[in-house]
Amino acid sequence: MECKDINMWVCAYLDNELDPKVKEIFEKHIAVCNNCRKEIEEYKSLKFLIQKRISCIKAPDILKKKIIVELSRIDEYRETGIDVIDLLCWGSHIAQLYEGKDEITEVIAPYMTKGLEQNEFCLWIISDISKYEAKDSITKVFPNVEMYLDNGQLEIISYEDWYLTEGHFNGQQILDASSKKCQDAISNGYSGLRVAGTTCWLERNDWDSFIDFEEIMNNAMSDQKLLVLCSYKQNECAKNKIADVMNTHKYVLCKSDHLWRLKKTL
Amino acid sequence: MCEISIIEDKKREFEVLALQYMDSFYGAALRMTRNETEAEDLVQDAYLRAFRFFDKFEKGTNFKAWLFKIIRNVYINKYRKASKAPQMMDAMDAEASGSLSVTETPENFIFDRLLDDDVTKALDSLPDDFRLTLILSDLEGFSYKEIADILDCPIGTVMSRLHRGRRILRQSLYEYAKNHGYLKG
Repeated sequence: MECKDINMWVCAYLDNELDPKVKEIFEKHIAVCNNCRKEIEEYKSLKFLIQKRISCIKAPDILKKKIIVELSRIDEYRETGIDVIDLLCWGSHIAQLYEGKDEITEVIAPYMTKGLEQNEFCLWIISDISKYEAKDSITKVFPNVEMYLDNGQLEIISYEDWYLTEGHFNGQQILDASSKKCQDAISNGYSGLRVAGTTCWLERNDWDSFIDFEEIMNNAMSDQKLLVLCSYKQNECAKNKIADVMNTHKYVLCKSDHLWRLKKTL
Repeated sequence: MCEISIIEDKKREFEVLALQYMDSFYGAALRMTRNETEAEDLVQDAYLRAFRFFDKFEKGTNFKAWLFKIIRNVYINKYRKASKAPQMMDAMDAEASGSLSVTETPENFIFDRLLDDDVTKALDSLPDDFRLTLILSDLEGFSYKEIADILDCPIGTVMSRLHRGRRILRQSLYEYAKNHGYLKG
């Protein structure tokens, strides 16, 4: 065994993971080689240093208590279908900042699919994509989508048929409709209601009243079996509008370096 | 009634098994995220996920390793930092390959004079996969086989990450020691 071979096995030797035969040869070499012995001593000190200096971190007591509480309400947690979020409680209000149509379907299709799999009533309120595009995007991840449309567990409706049924936006009316939809879903045997809606239909004049609605919605849904994902077009939101979105949603999804990132805000 | 008591028993069993390792998981999560709030979120998310899949845990096998595997998967999904690791690894490894050779090592290379903060910073600056492998080996004492299972990679990869990770770490600490004037440059 030469010094360069020793170099390769130093870590395994220190971690006591060397095959006994290799270990024997290894030890014969280090008995006669000062340099290799020195190398081993250094790695040994390094390992000891890490163990001594870094191992004693205590988890905050509050974390333990929080986990016990969250475990006790585990039934309220839903899988979101969105990789970066994983699980969220009923009553969660999420915003998505998107740029193109693809980014809407990329997030909403798996989000809806997961809801269908978990026996939730799913409502997708579309504005800048067609019903066909919405359905097609879910079909790509969940081929059975037609069955859910037929049996009524999945509804894909236009923003006009949800937000503008009175011809103009009326926040209170939407809040009432959401609560009723949620109660109906539960009465019909579903676990709750999962909603996705895009906002690009919003007129400039409606922004303030819509944000007021989002804030009230945020509080109103906290005790309902309701999960809401609102998609906002990023390049149509000025900085102050993004601040509005951040202030009215507990979770905000946005893309950075081609990956979705999650920001907890409230 | 019966179903409720089964669920309660399952929760109790899970809590007894899982909460005893909280310090280990939080410590590892903190080293992975380098942020206290994110570390708490990561541990909480991993515990909730682990409980949901608790039925899939094979009794009699290593629970701590199983939960570490979940933490690692939640971390990758949530932060996706792993996808950036290879480039960073190669760059850092190339840098470290020209590191001090045995003959250059000064006699008075004393790690003990380094500050805890220096050691933490050096560890934190390792690429994700190297850092987690080192944590699992040096801090948690897992065998190479267990680490390979947690990280879902061959044992050879574990050995290589430990070797390269320690080499980079040694080089970083050497730089810290030099900067603090503990060593002559």
